[in-house]
Parts: sequence; structure tokens; C-alpha cells
Amino acid sequence: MDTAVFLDLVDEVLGREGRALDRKSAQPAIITVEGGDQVLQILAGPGSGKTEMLVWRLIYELVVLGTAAERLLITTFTRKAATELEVRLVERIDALLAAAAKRGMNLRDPHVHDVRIGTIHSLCDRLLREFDPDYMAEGAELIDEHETNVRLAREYRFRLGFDARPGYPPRLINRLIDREMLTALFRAPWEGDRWPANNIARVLYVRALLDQHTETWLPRCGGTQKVNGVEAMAGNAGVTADLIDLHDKWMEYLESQGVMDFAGIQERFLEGQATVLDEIDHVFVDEFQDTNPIQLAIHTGWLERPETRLTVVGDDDQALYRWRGSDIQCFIGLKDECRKLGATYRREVLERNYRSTRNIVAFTEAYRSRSVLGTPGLTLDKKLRPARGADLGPPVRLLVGDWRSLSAVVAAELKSEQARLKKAAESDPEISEVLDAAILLFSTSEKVTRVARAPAVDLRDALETRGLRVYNPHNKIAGRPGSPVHDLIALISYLIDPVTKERVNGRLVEVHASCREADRWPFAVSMPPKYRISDAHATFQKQFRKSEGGGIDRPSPLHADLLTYVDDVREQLVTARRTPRLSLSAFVARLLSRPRFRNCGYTVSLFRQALFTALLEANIAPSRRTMASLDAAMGPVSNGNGQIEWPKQFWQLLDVFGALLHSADLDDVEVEAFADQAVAMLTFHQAKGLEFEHVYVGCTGRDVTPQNVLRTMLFSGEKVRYAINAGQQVETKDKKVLQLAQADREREVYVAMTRAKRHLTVLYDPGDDRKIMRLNPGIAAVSDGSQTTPHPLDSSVQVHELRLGKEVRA
Amino acid sequence: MSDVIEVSYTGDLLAHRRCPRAWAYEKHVGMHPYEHVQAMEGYLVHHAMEWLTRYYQEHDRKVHATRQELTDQLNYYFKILWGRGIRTTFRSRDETIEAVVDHLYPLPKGKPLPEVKAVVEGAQHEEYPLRSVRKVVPARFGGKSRVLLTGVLDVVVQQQSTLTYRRVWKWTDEDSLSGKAVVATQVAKKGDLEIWDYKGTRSSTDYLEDYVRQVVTYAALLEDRIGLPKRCVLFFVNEPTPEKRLLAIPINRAVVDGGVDWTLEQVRDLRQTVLQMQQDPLSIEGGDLRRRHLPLKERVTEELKAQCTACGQRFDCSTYRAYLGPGKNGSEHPDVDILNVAKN
Repeated sequence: MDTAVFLDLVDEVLGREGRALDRKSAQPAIITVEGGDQVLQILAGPGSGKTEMLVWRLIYELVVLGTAAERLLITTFTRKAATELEVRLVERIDALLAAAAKRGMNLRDPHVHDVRIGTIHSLCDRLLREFDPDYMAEGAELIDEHETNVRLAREYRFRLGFDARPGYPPRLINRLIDREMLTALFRAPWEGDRWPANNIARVLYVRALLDQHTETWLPRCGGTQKVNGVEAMAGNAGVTADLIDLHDKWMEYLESQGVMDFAGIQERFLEGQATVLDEIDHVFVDEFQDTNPIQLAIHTGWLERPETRLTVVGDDDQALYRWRGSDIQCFIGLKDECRKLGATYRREVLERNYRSTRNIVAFTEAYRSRSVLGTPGLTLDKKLRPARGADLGPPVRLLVGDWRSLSAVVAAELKSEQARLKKAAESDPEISEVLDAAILLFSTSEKVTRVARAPAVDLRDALETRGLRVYNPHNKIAGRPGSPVHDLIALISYLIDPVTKERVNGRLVEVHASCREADRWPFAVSMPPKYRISDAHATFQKQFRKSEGGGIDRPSPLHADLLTYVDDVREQLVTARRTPRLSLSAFVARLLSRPRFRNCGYTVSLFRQALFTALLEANIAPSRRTMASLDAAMGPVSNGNGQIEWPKQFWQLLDVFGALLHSADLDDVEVEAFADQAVAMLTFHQAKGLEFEHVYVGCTGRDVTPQNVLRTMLFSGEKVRYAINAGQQVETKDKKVLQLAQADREREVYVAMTRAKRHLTVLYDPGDDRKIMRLNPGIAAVSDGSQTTPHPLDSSVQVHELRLGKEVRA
Repeated sequence: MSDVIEVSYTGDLLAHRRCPRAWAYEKHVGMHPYEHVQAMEGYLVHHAMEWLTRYYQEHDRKVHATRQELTDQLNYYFKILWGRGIRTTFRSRDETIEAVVDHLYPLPKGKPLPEVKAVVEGAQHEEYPLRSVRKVVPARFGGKSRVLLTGVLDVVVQQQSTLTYRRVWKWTDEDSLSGKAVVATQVAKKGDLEIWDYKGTRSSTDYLEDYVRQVVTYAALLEDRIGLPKRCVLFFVNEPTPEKRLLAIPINRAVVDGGVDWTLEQVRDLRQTVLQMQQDPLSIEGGDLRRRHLPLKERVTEELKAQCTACGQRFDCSTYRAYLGPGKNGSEHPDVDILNVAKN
């Protein structure tokens, strides 16, 4: 088939979807794979149809060039994005084949199912499994982040080297923690100056070090052994060597266990990429702006084979993941990279926004171009325009008022919209009654402290008061008291190491086998573990037993049946005549069948039960290949002194699992099932790639913090001056660093606002002086001078309406 | 958020048909099951067939693996599965592997069965991932407008020589896609294009009709790609009676179209379970969906019992409890007794 006919068919298929091919734009040039194409970079603004164009370019490869489907590869940022792409690809190819058949063209089966679509981690794993005999023989399994953390928590003292005892020579992890100039780079702005002070904080720090070293230093400096930029700072000699040592020890551990973490699989793939090079003809990369250096090395590594093509698509104004190791320079510097590699390079720009109304496009473009993002040279050149014929749409609104009033107004508006949709759906089955709305905040934490109430809490209260269900997977409270996660670890703790009240040395005190005070151990129900463990697990147990009016020696009537049940199971395990077969997971399954857990309705509590089972699995999995498997039947025995002796793996479980839950602010999992028919409350980062009819954006004015930019530059071997302030946070006067850091903040807000299809509302409470509650200066500048009216539902809320779309030609 | 219902044929549709309650808790909500006891043999069977095919292709399509090589490979793969938490039901590792190998390379000859040779030599495309998107009316599908149906077809076969099937599916009602397996002869000729699905169960499975509908739907989804195959074949790898191992399923336009319609109806049922779950999770009853019209105690078949006895949701499942009845002297049946530590 020739290109002209193909483009006609594309036009016909897209025309049926209501948006024909725009032949005057870059679309035809993007779809067509030209003879000299080696690298095509598509710069695509929000809502500009990048997925559509990526799909058609891929279909061009299949249908016009006849490339075999299994020789095409698309990497996406998330599994969800991969599914979306699969749907689009299958829909479009089916429509194309049908359109071709109508014209009497008999196209051969393009085997579209064989196109390799997935996240980079899963694709690396799949390709190595298929083509690298060594990897295949290892049978390595990719592990998720929960399991990686658990494995680190179990092993970092022994395998990597840490010793908390005073007076002993510092081991590897001790040395890395003691280097303040390094530690400060990984300390979040809200962490105290002693971070990382506990077990789990140390685990998270070590993991962040491993990821940044593997994903940034290795590809940029590993070949030449250029020293880490931190090493240039006074007193930091040896940082590079320590990080290399850390990395090598961790990889050695993973290999010995037959597992691979997300950072490791990328490194392993880069090492083995030569074995796969001949198998792939064209690589497509979605969301390329969030690429990290090792991923860039993998993507450009394909170009070692001159026949292989690389198509990348992204938007530098939407780069959000520097905090997780990505570097916008990978996107901006691709042209130079290609020049160095001798690869031909082409760039096309998609500037028309097919998602949003003219008012929204005009507002977000004004925000972008007037902020630091509009600085020449900082980003690639483009200007977003509305689609031809796009609706003007309602004005963009800035609602100003007290946060609780704002929350109530948002809830009332959404409830009213839900009622409208329901009514419309009753008369037209083609209309979906599902409310398509999101509230996007810099932080959706729902933690409530004595001094502060998180903004997301008020929003949730207001929405639930109106009978709307809320989906907030990044709330940091999934493990709080009252959550099944909290209660289930409490009950496991109670099974293994029940706390009792005993008279010890004349005093009535709380006793359990893993408590710190050795004089209490003989009075405990269980025999103490052979080594000291964290007793964080007991904190859960005590909180649970003391809640709802209960106490250690008098259970709350609400908990009595559960605690009696656990007592009975313990008794049965110790006294059973037949060898027990009950495993820990099966014990949890029995607990979950009790009314306290089962009768929770379709609420977040149900999904937290599921979260607990997944976390338990992450703790059990590392033990499966050991003699002390947590899959095995629980086998406590009664010793001669009337105490119960538990196998060591159960103490290890309490030690690690208890500490993990105690020290980490646990989020709910992002589960589509619970998001269904709920109002989404998401962080700016989570909103990436999504779109909604109604979008409310709040918490837009956070501080500009330089640590993420510094981390990337220093681990790239650059030397940048920085210091640590009294709060142990990094500071710098470097203009470039500060400009990049500010751009990172403005991008977050830009991404959030451009998710809106028809209604965009910014929320601002001038009476709240917390930093994140401030109004982003860019939004303030654009909305300055706009007309103000009281909100019809609450006159204390002022409405600024912005109708910039009138000024823009669509 | 998304307007797509993503449905896997085996992981969702068939699992939901077996027990909507177990599906809702494990697949929809995400409760991690504590044992994957049913899966080990199925994994081994599929891996064995895939590995045998790859072995043959890597040896210039001339040499088949030996019985010992297959045994060694399954021993190796067993360890990987064990490390991933997959467990055997009641047999030891050696017994489990031996059973799989015996069914494919029976003693005393220790050579591959004719049907194993046929599929290995004729394999054109293994582990064929199927994806199909169907537009649906939101009002009928709980607000969703598209269905992404996914499945993995075990193998597309182009016969390299004749093969005789001694069991054939006879359609009794093509409209309702009903039928039965009968003893009859059908011969595949050299060059016939077929799609095969491996099953780890016996051929007398309660779910035979579901499996037939599944593979017929796969044929429909593949039609745009490879055209309609000559027939579909179910290969019951663990069936001890040789003549019952293969079931040939004749297909035509009507049954292929009917397969897709039937499948979308199952998606609708599944979506109804989701909506019911969102209203009241406790109202979802366990047991075979096809037996929903029967009294509770009759909704568990012998085959489903093997799943129920290891199900994490069984302790308060009214269907399973009704099926089991009380234990001795009117006490709790040991299978659902939460104090019974002798059972996992």
C-alpha cells in the first residue's frame, strides 16, 4: 500500500471518530515513516493526540512497510497506559482493515497482538526471558517495590553492612548515613533533621541511593568512573567507592535470590541488550520527558543497529518525575545525543489541543508562557493552540474563600452535576451517568495532626457528606488506627507475642517477649526471640486492644470475640494432637471472614484488607526459598517453662513487618475497581496521562526546593556548590539549579490544569498561610484583574471568571 | 475514570462463572489468595507444551525432546513456581511431575504421544495473545462504553500430517451454543489450520461447555487475523484415557458469532456483579453461576469443591456451608471451622 492511500484510510477512520486527519499539521509527517528516519522526536502538547499519532505511525510500520509485529516495541509509563494503548491499537487496526476491505483491498494479517507493549521494566524482563539464554536459565522474577523494601529491611544489616552499636567501626551503610552532604540530598523537606534515624527510614534511604546510583551515575559516569559530584564537596572522599560497593553487594544478593528489582532489571538489560538488538526494528517511547539516564541509554542503545528506528513522544512542559530519578535533559538533549551517535534526527511538533475548550487552552497557555516555562532555552519551542472548531466552553474559574467553604462548594457542584447526568442517562442510554471529575492537589495526604488538618480531609468530608464516594490512593493513612492494615498486624502480633499485665519487681507492668526490659521476659506468654527485635508490632497490638474503651486486661466488647478467637487459635496450635497445617496467610483469611472485617461494605476498608494481604505476601515471598519459610504451617511449641516457643521466622516477620508499617506513611493502592464511580482526589503526579470533564486544582504554591535538581546533577558527575542549613536541608545559590527547580513546580501545576476537558476551577484560601496553600504566582498573574462575583451557593466564596478563549483563534 | 471494562477470558470470565463471590474478592478487590493449589499442574502442563514446541523448533524442526529432558526441565520449572508461591494439591513434587510427563510421554515407550507430536510439529504460533475491543451501550454495562477482551490462545496449528480425532463436539443448539461431546471420528488433513487450547483438567470436566465457548470465541477474535480455522481443538493433557484427550470442535459462522455474543453477555453478568459489590458486597452468593437457580447446597459441583476447599472466602460462604452441611454431632464442618488448625 502506498502512503497516500494509507493516509486516506487514516482520514476515513479518524473522520468516523469525529476528528479527521489534519493534513496541514505535522500529523502526516509523524505517521509516515520516512526512508531516512532513524530518530523521530515528537514534541506534543497536552491533549494534542500523541497516543493517536504514535498508534498510526506504528500501524504504518505494520501495514505499509510490512514490518513483523513482534519486531515493534512500545514502552509506556504505566501498565494502565499500556492497556489504553492496546485498546487504541486494536480499535484502529480493526477499523483500518474494515475500511480497506470496503475498498476491495485485501490486507494481510498484521498480527497486531504480537506488538510488544508494556512498561520498560516489564519489557526488559520479557525480552531477556525470550532472547538471553543466561537470563532464561536464571529464572529471575521481577519483584515490586513492597518486596524490594522488605528484602532490604531483612538484609541490609548483614548483606550490605550496618551496625548500630556504639563504639564499633562504621560499616558501609553507617558511612553512607554519616555523610551529611549526601544524606541531605535525599531528605524530603518535611523530614526532621535526624532522618534517617530508624530502620525503615534507613531502608528508604538505601533504596533511593541504589536507584539514583544505578539509574543516573552508572549510565553517565560508570564507563569512565567519573566521581560522583558529592565527592567534590569537602569531607566526602570515598563516596563514589562506597556507592559502587553498595550497588555491587545488592546486585549480588538479588542474583543469589533469583529476583530482580526495577532498577536492577534496567541495568541487566543494558548489559544484555546486544543479544536482543537484532530482534527489534522500531522502538516507540511514550512519555519520553520522564526518562531517566539509564532508560535513555537503553533507548539510544537500540541505535547501535543502524536499521533500528526510534520514535519518542513527550512534552518537556509535563516532566514531573525528577524526584524519582528522571531527568528532563534526556528529552531536551536528544538531538545532541543523536549527533554524538551519528544517528539521523527529525523533530515534529503537535500544538493543537483536542482535549480542552478554548478558554482552558488559552488560560493554561497564558500560564505556561508567562511563567519560567516560557524562558527561551529552558524548554523546547512550542505554542499550544485550541483545535479548529473547539468550543469556547465555560470560563476558567478561580474560587477564593475559606477552605472548608470551598470544599463544601466543590461537593455541592459535583452532587448537582451527578444528578444532572443521572437524569440525562435515563432518557438516553448512550449517555453515561458516571461523574467524570477529579480534585487535584499537590498533596492529598489525609494525615491530621494536633496542629494541622490536611486540605484533603476537608474535601473528603464535604464530598462524603453529599453522598459522593472519594478515591484517594495517595492519602498516607492506610495504616492508621482503625484501618484493617493496622488491626491485622495487631492481631498477628497478639497471636505471636501477646502483651499481658504482670507484677514484676512489685510493679504492675506490660509484658511481652520482645519488650526491651529483660526482667520482664520470664513473665511473657512467649519465649523471647534469640536476638533483639523492634517491638513496633506491639504498639499496634496495644493501640488496638486499648481502643474502643478496652485495655490490656479488659478487652473492649467490640474486640472481645476477635481476641478470644486468636487466643483459641494459639491454644490449638500448641496443643493440637495432629500436626497443625495452618499457615500465617490462612490465619489472616480466617480473620477476614469475621464480621468486623467482612461487614465493612464497599468502602476503602475493604481495599485495605486487600492491601494487607499484598503486604503480607511481600513479607512471605523472600522466605520461600529458605528453610524458615513463612508459607509453612505455623509450628509453635510449648517449652518446659510454660512459655510458647515460636520459630525464628515469625519473630523476623514481626520485626520487619511491624517496623515497616509503623514507620512508613502507607498509601492505599491505586486500584481501578475503587476508582470506578468515585470522585478522584489525586496528586498532580498521579493525574498525569488522565483527563476529566471537571477538574478542581488546589495547593498550587509550594516552596521551590532544589534537592531533586542537585541530586540529578551531582550523580551525573557535575560539580555544583550547595550547603546544608540548620534544618539539615540543602540550599544553593546556583541560578541554573534554582531555575530548574522552579520550572519543576510550575510543570506540576501545568499538568494538573491541562487535565480538564470542559470545566477548570482553581481553589485558593488566602487565609491559610501554609506554604502549599499559597496561590501559584503564575496563576495569580494570569487571573489578576478578572471580574469577581459571589458564588451562588455560598456568597462567602468569591468567583473570578477568566474568559481568555475569546482572544484566541481556534 | 476509564470507560473500558478490561476482561481476561480465563482470569475473569471463567473464574466469575465458577464463583462470582470468589472472583469479586480476589480479582476485583484484590485479596491475595493464600494458596495457589489449583495452579501448579496447569502451569506445568502449559510450560511443558510450550517448552517442547520451542525445543523442536530450536532443533531445526527435526528432533523432539526426550522424556528425561522434559522431566529435568519440569523439575527446574517446579522450583521457580515454588519460589513464587505456587503449590501442589495433594501430591509430592516427584509425583506431580511424573504425572504430567506420563501423560505426554507414556511409558514403557517413553516417546511423545501422537497428539503431542502433532501439535509440536504443527505449531505456527504459540501463546497467541488475543485482544479485542467491542463497543457496548453504557446503560447495559454499568456506564462503561468499551470492552477490552483479552486471552491467550495456547497454539495455532497447521497440521503437518493427518490426525484422527475420536471425540467430537456435537452442537445440539447452535443459537444457545449448547452441545455435547460424542464418540465419533474426524480426520484432520495435512495443512488444516486449527486452534488448540490446553486444559489441565480431565475431559469429563463440568466446564466443558464453557471451554468450548471460550475456544470458539477465540476463533472469532482471530478471524480478522488468520481467517476462520478449520476447527478448534481442546487438548486435555491430564486425561488418562488416550482417546478422550482430544476434542475436535467443528465451527461455522453462526457459532463463531454466537460465541462473541455469549461472551459479551458474560461480561455484562460480570459487570452486574461489580455493581452489586459496590452496593452490598455481602449479597453476592458463592457457587457456580450456572446453578444460581438451584438451592444453595446444589451450587457446588465436585470440581468446584476442589477450589472451595482452598478458598480464603469459604468460612462465611453460605453456599459452601450449605453444600458441606454440619460436621459430626452437629458441630461445625471441619472444612469451614475457623478453629481447625489441622487444615490450612
